Amino acid sequence: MKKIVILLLSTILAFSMLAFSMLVFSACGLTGGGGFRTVNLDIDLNNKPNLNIMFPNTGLSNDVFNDQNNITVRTARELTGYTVNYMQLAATPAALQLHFTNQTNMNAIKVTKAQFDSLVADGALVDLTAGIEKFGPTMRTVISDASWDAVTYEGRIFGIPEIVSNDNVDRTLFFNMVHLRAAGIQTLPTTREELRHALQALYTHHGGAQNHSYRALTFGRFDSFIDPIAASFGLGNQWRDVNGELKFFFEQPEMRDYLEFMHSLRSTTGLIDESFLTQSAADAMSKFINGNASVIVAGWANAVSFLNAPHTNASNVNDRFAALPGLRAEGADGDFVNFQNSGVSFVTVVPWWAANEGGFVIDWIDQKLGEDNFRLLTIGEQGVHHQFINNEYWPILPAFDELNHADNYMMGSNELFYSDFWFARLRKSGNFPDGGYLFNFWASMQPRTTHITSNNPIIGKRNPMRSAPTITEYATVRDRIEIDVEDAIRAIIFSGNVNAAYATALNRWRADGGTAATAAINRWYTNR
Amino acid sequence: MLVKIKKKSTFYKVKKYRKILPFLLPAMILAFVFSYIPMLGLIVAFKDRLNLTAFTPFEAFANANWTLDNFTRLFGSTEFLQAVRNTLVISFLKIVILFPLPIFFAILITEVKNKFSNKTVQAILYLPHFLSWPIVIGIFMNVFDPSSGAVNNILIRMGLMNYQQPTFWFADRGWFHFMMLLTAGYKDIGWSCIIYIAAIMAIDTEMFEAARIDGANKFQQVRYITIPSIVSTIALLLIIRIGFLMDAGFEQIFAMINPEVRSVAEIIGTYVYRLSFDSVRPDFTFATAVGLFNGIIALILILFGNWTAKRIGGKGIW
Repeated sequence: MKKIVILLLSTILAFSMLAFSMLVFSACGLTGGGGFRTVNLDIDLNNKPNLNIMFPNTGLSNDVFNDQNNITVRTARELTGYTVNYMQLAATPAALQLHFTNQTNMNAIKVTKAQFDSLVADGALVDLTAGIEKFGPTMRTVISDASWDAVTYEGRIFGIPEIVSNDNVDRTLFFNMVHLRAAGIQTLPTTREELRHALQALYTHHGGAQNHSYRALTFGRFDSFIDPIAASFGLGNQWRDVNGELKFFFEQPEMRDYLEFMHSLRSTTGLIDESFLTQSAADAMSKFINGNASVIVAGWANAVSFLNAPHTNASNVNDRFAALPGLRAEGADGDFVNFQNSGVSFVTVVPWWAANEGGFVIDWIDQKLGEDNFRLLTIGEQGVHHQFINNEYWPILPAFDELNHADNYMMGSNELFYSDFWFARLRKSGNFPDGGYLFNFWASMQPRTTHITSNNPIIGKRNPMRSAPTITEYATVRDRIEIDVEDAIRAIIFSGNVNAAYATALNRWRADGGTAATAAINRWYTNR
Repeated sequence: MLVKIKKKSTFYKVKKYRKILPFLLPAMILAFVFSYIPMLGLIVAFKDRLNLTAFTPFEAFANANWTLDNFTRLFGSTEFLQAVRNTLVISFLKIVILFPLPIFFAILITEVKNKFSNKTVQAILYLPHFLSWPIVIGIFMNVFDPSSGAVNNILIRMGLMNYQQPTFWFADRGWFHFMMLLTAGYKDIGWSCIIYIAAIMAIDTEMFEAARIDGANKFQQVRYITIPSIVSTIALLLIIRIGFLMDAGFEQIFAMINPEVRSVAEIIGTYVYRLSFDSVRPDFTFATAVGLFNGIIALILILFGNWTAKRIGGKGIW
């Protein structure tokens, strides 16, 4: 009898749980997406709804973006007639997935190109082709064909592309020049061996074995692949054309040389801060600023943080720190090489459940991209926030600082003017005609192809995949296999055993989808 | 002559305790909503990838094919087997080394008769419990930093460490378990003492007086009165702890893990997290298969723990 009662109760419990879960699923909405919906073209643009827009995590508090009186938010509202609520994604990589699963109340999301590729491959986005045709006349003209190609999948457009602000060389080694000169070296190293010598000299000068707190070179845990050093070995910026075929950097034969060189630095006491395995970029920065390291891997924008370094005594700030423009390529004795950003960095997309309001999103973005509106939204009003001198835009401080978060509110970009406007930001630490500290830093790193800079003997290597369309075989595995590669590089540099560990990591990369992705990418590359 | 005592029926017990049974309701509802309903989700372990970006959860579930691939992959995966091994090793070490320490400290603390010293020591021991794991690990990483950390600098100056090969405590597979135990001990020993201190305080003081009159010294009092009096508390906590054997401390390991120590540090919890949330394309179905397997082992362990406790002490949790 007792057993029958228990059995009965268990059955009732199981059924009620099933019924409850069905209810939960129903509440989530039974009408799903998939299959690429299209934008509803039958809308009245005079009857504008409020829009909810999401963008990538900035590291800032959400309160910053809740402010409807922010100058960019207010100006956009006045110019376009749309009231827009902004939200930032959580920093967790899976946050985007969770918003899609929960169908968060939003009309559009700005995502990275890699996230875009993954979403398109899943069929989670709205086909914007007809919507852009009808509601986006300006964007068709101010965004280049190459950028549109990057967001086209099976002949249809699934997003509004935003390019990098400028074709920058972004990351390099920054030197504390006061330390370097004190160590007896007057100029920046130009080759890998000179770099090794400089690091050794710095370590010796700082007390060598007597100073246990000092390491010559420091960097954060995500910076083990150091751009100028890797480029000097001939490694590609992510992908490289080798005899007409694209190869991923980790699969290129020079990778082993890079790992061996880096491990040899690591295994010589004092040259590399061993904490690179675990520390954040901010930890590394504080060591550099405090003088516990003299060389750091960083992006040009970090140069602002160096100003806080208290210990340096050079009166001219430009004499304190210098950016290594690049290192000489293997066998060459002329140009320096480094990696250069280019192509589409962000894409604004409409999720499948927001197809009805997709037309409004396109209309809103389209209005923001016209030259005058785009200028107002990025660098503010002439005479108030910026001035136009000798065909250049110069900031007026402190009013210009009101626009500090303007790039977060940007969806799509006017490619004809973006670079010109962007230079106003770089010139913030100077006055006409000298761009100042930050600008000089930036300029010293840039290749001669960048139209504003001098004749720096630098070759910036671009990623040939920079404007590639979505390639399903790559999009679906990219995140996982690239995280594994990053982990492997860190671990190999730290503990050595290069041959065996590299072979294992490479085999794993291949087996986990690297080989299939490379084949698919090359099918596109040959037929493009 | 033996008299057979009839076991009271469940119905009789329900009737007898009917007035206090409603107090169980909140706990039962919580358990139902947060522990039983989610079990339905385990079914996705038998599905291939759920496309949760383009479909509602129900549709994604309906569209995905039934498969046992996740389990085939599970048992063929060296990463998973490594995670199971690490989970068991870390849990075992924590039980063997960290479980007895709070008992030891509780006995020491209760022997301190000066109220001020007693309370001060307790407060200092409890305090780290209120720091979050990332903060605790952050503090230890700074103190144990290979170049700028105080520990290495002291050891090098004392001649106990070669400056050319400073130990990187958090990135050395050989030291990982030590650091794991050290940080876990620092954070939680004080807190775990509380129950034992309470149990010791509840012991009848007359027993100690009697022992003293009989000439028992402190050590003998602890051995023959304190420990036997709290042994049931120890057994109960041990069984509960064994039930959590498959949970080796996610937050702690998550804060400590790095590629160099992953082979000895990755536990099932961090592995599932990595598959589910540390990726823009989460592998929920495989992660669920891992979780299901983990749950089954945990269930077996707790049943075994309870059975053992009954065999040894005559008492279990149920």
